[in-house]
Amino acid sequence: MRNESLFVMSCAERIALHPTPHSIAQIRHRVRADVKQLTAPRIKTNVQFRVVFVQGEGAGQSQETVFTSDPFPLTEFGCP
Amino acid sequence: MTFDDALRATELLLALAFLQQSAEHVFGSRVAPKLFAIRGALSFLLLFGLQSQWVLLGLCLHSLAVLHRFQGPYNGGSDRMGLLVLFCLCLAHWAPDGLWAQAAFGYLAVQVMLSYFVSGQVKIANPDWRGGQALRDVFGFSAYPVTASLRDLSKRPRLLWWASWSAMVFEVLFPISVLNPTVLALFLAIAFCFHLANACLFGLNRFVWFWLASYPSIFWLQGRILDGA
Repeated sequence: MRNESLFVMSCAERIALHPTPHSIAQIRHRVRADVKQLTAPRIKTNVQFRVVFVQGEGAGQSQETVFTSDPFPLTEFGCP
Repeated sequence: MTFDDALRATELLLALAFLQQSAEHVFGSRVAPKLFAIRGALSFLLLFGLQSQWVLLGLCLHSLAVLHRFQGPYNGGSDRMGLLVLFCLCLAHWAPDGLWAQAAFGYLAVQVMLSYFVSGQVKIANPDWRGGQALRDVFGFSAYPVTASLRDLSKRPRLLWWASWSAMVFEVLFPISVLNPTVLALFLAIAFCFHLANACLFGLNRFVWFWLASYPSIFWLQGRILDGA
């Protein structure tokens, strides 16, 4: 699954440079799959994802949110 | 290494790299399994040397479908190298015998040597790499699938400083290895271990097989240069 994680990272980088429906859809698809594994899906449950870049600054870190998706239903067509 | 031997060795290694990749999609992640089943079938034909010229052309056309499916390379640099090996190999088969075919294959060797040199040059120009901070950040909080136990390496700055400089010096010196066959074999052995370490530490497993597939072209080019000197 490591290469799958790397593809998600590529999509996040593409979104940071230039958001495209394809990259957003790819991450949505994986968010849905991951969330469904954690919780039983309910009708009308909406989720959202953020792309956050973390950077080292001296001894600490800084975070920048470069993209926030629109809320989308946990199930593809609004039903489990 | 003769030209024909180098082409065949590249075919074998590329076929194995594509088979590993296809198996991952078909049996592992299940992302686009049908698409990669086709690549796997073509790779089997390439492995056994059946109609290699046409199979390579088929793999080139198929790779366009894969690029379209993922709107670009699925795994960045490693997939780009896979495509470079594939297209150069295909051109070497389809170009007229002689200089054109050798030019296509030699182009691959030069690009691989540059991949190391340019990577080292970019790192050396970056103060974060020269001070070891870049590697600390990679282990500390990069998005690579680093295991939790390895994240503690970010707390060993001296070790990472040495690791950074070892990688940078190795990469920028890589092109001079082509001047001597023993030195080239040594550099390629180190390079292979380097890719293997990246696969174990960061999960960058596809780099190992695609870069390995390109090594016969460097061996062949070196022979061509030294014979001509």
